[in-house]
Amino acid sequence: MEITEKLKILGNAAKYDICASTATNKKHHISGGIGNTFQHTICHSFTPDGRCVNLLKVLMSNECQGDCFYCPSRSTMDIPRTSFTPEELSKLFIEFYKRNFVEGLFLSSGIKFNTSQTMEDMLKACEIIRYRYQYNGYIHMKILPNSPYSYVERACQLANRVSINAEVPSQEHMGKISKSKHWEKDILQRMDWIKNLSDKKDSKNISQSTQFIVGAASENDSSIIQSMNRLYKTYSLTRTYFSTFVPIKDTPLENQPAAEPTREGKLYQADFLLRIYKFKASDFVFNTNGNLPSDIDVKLAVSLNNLQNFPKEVNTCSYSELLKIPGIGPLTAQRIVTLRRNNIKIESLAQLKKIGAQIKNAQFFLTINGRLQGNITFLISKIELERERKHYKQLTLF
Amino acid sequence: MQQILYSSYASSVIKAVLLARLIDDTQLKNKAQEDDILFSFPQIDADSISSKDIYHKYRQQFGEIQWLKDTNFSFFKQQINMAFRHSKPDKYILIESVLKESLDNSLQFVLAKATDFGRKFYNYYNSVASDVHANKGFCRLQPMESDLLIGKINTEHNTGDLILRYFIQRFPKHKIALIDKRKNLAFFFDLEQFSIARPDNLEKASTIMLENDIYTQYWHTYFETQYIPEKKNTKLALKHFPQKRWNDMFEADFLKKHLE
Repeated sequence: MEITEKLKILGNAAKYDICASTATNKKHHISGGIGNTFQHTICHSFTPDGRCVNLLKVLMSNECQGDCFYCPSRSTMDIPRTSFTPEELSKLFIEFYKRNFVEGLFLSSGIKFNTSQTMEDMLKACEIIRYRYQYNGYIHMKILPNSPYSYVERACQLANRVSINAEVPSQEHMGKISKSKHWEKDILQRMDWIKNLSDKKDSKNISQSTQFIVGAASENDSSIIQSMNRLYKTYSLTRTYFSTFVPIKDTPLENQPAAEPTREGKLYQADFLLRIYKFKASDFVFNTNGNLPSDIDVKLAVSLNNLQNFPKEVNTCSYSELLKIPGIGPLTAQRIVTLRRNNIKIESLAQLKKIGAQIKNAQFFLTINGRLQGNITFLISKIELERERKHYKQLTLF
Repeated sequence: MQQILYSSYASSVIKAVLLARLIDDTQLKNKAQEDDILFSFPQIDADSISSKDIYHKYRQQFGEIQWLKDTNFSFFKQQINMAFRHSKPDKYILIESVLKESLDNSLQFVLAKATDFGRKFYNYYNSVASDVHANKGFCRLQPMESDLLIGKINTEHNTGDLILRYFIQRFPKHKIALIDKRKNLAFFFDLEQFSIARPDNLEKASTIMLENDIYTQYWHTYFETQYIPEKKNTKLALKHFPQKRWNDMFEADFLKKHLE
């Protein structure tokens, strides 16, 4: 099969996998080699769905022994199957990199004959890229479920980031999307290996992430957040990604409705609140079906549910308390604290706005030098009015 | 009235601003600014005086400048150097004002964007940094004979050399040429030296890039596969990839096709 055809098939099959960030510390350094890593993510282009394309994201093979009910490459699907050879893939990648089309490689795969052989091909491609082409840049490698320890170890040596998809929040949910995968044995155990390998003194920078498919196993946001929180704590994950379930024709889940696209965005907000704002999983507010409220900002919902903790005095409260105020992010909170250290007090909302706070929501949850800046009941009635309005429909004359 | 001249880098302008406080009746002027046609003043070159002397005299007269020892000072210098690359001519007055404000109040006051000058200064710095960042991503390179990589950039500010430096680090064994059509400039690195030229035939130079490169065609095929129609969000795409960055890119044409 021609490379163009292979790219069409294997690129298309990998598009639902997510890895947005390429920011990483230096890991491999071959003097005079091609490429480097960068502390900030660089986007090289954007598709009409608004997603950044910064990695060559392909499968090594879409031939698969797996039976994941949502997957377009599952073993029973009647689709064209193909694989890259390690030589083909590595050459293609390095030529893309030289043209500045991509910032790095994201390599995943279906399970061709067995996990070991597929992992071997993936590792071989990475080895060619690293050693023959002397590439010092970013590689993200997927660890296949049930991979042997030695392959996981080698992947950790070659890649900047490795990941194994959790897909669902628990073994119970796993049963709804696959009969052959075991959540704890096949996935969590590999996460544990990666964590232990990255903890080793001689290990160079290696980070670990995971991905959930939102809505495939009829799970709710609450269970995803609980699971994500556990994974962060137990396996020191760097990030969690979410991909909204989209039903694919001829798969067992083809008649299951697609997940609400807004869920993905809300879960990302929750993820940031957990990781950066240091919220607890128990802080979040869910609606009756266990999902995050879709009509209101996640942080605002948490604050409205904990009104006893507000208002906060902006000139005296700690950095972590500032982070709990809706409309104040880590950068603004840091600026407020630094100003305070230099004996400069915030005197007005206008000044707070200048240093980066989103006053629209923040004003209701803080005081400046003891003065309240907004009436919280006004905000609550405004939100309720917005909710009511959604039920009204404009009448038409005809 | 005396004029204090400074160059477009942080340490020079800082020296000039401190000197202006030490000497009465002075005016600051960047060396790149044109001379006044009507008036001419005696000039002092801030670069010709050592920073040690200036700091010593300043300390004697006005006391210690605490923020010179601050951990944020090197970041501030970096911001000044970037702001000097902004395309607007009012950058000189802005940088001078920000420095005066830092001396009067505190560096943190400026860095936290708590003042109008501080905010505008941050926006200038940010605009230049974004220009560099966007060009690092959206510039396409074409491998040519004898290990030459040639690419087109589209800079809003004076950032071509920074972008070139980034690619030199990325491809240390390649000669690199970047053509900036908007500025009518070419930036070149031949493995030893870095040069800037104003080529006679820039149009021709920028069309050297091969249209029928096989890997470019592979890229087009690959890029099209990455679009998920069910998640179409052209508003978001345009936010991250605005028209001013399109720069004859295939990806822009693909996006254009999907705009309502």
